Amino acid sequence: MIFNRIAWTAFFLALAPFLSFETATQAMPLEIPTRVTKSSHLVVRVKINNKGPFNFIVDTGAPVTFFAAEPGKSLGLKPDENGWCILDKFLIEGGLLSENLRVKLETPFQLVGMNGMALGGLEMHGLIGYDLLAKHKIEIDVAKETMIWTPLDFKPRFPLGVSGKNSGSGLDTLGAFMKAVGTFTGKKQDSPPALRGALGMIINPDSKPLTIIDVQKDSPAYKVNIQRDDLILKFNGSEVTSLDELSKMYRTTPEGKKIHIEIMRKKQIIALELTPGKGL
Amino acid sequence: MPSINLVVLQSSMLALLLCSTINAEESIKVPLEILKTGHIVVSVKVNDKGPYRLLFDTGAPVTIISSKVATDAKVIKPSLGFSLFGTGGQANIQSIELGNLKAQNNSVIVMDHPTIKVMSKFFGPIEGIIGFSTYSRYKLTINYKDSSIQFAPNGYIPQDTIKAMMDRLTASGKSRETLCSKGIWGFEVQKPESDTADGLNIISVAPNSVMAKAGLKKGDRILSLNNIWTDSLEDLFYASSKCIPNEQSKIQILSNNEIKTITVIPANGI
Repeated sequence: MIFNRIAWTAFFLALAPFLSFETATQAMPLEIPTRVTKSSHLVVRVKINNKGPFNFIVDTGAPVTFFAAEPGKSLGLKPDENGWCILDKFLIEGGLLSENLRVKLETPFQLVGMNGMALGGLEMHGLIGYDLLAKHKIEIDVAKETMIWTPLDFKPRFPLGVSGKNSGSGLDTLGAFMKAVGTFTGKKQDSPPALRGALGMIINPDSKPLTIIDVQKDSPAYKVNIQRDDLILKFNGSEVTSLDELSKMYRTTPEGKKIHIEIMRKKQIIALELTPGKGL
Repeated sequence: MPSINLVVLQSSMLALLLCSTINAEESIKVPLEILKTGHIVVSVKVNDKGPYRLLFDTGAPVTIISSKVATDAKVIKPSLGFSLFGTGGQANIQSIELGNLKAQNNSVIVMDHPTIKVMSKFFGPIEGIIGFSTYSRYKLTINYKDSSIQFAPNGYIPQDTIKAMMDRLTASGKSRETLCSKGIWGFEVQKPESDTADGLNIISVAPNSVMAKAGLKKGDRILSLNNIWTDSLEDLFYASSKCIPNEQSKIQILSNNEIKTITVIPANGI
């Protein structure tokens, strides 16, 4: 609790008089691709000075925007005595550019916790906080995996509680909260996903049995001589009734496993073995 | 601090599966109070009691309410030995009301959060945090300029974050995710390590494919797919796994030193 007292003294001393002078150049609504992590955080990707992308949590609970110390260092950024740094270009995926954005170049405790607990599956590099959020009208629909941000003609007041080396807004206690969970789980970040290319069969989704209407040249299906008008009967031993089901079976086939397909061509059943390709 | 750790730990032990429903169909605009720290406060009713002031925090995975609210509003707690650790733990709230929008069966954590307690000293009583487990159930429009949030139910059922944590904890082995394109496009890309520029090089386009018909050719560079940057193969597979076959997708390409955006409709298939 002594810690809190110090933090909150800092809070009151931190009447940070400066106004931020970054500018958002577009005024049109922009679609921002959003990922919901396994830890239930909204994450957007950001390129900073054309480098990245970095993962940022959209956090109305953060007073300013934070960029973690380590990636900051890798971009050659140097914080001033109070930990601030001006980023020339802060480009959010979807095309939202802020120039001369001032950020706190430090790793908020939340992120230490987040990355420690690695429940997000992604490494986090920063938080987008009030100072940047408030300059936009923000539409969030978690069900859609995109946000819509519309720049507003609005200069938010500089928030209290974030001057000095230690942010005194109480964020620190939140971070400790997260970190406790991290210690508990002790999991590493997800390993990179397996990438499964297409087999190259174009299928009429309304046909039954599913009918191949085209085969992409040089695709895995092409290589085993699958042809137009072939009917798909079985996939890895299971009967196939719909394209959705087939897609799911293909997507969930364990890594490294060959694909076995049974097709019917001119009343003849043909069993084929394919290897997933690299193309889409 | 140890007490918090215990609360979290013990909450994590309790993996509750709660289904969620929201009654009202209409959307509602509620006023925001913006604190001098830049935090957002909204007023909500809990089990018809209140209103209470809660922080609206998109960075918080789970909604938190104070033990005071839990007591006032007779929040039901599962009977799994909470008393061992004092107040706290995962609980179920019958209803959370924002204006006339009522969300039922809300999974929350009961906890007297130290940060919130301190903030209350400066800004008046704040009784918790609205986090992902609640706000994800709405389409939200946050507007700081006119100090409002609009809420409209979106039918989304959030995962149980605590349960998800447990699942990850207990998951055996390393089963990694597989990214697989939705739809058939008819092209292949490559990214040698020496290539650090934005985008991916297209190394082949299948004749008669949807990509060929859209005018793409070998040597073009794909920069983004439906606004998602495609700087790595993983990016491209991620973006294409989010596409809908037989519906328009937007591709940004670099071709002959010119950036252009084209529309492609990926074909049904695997």
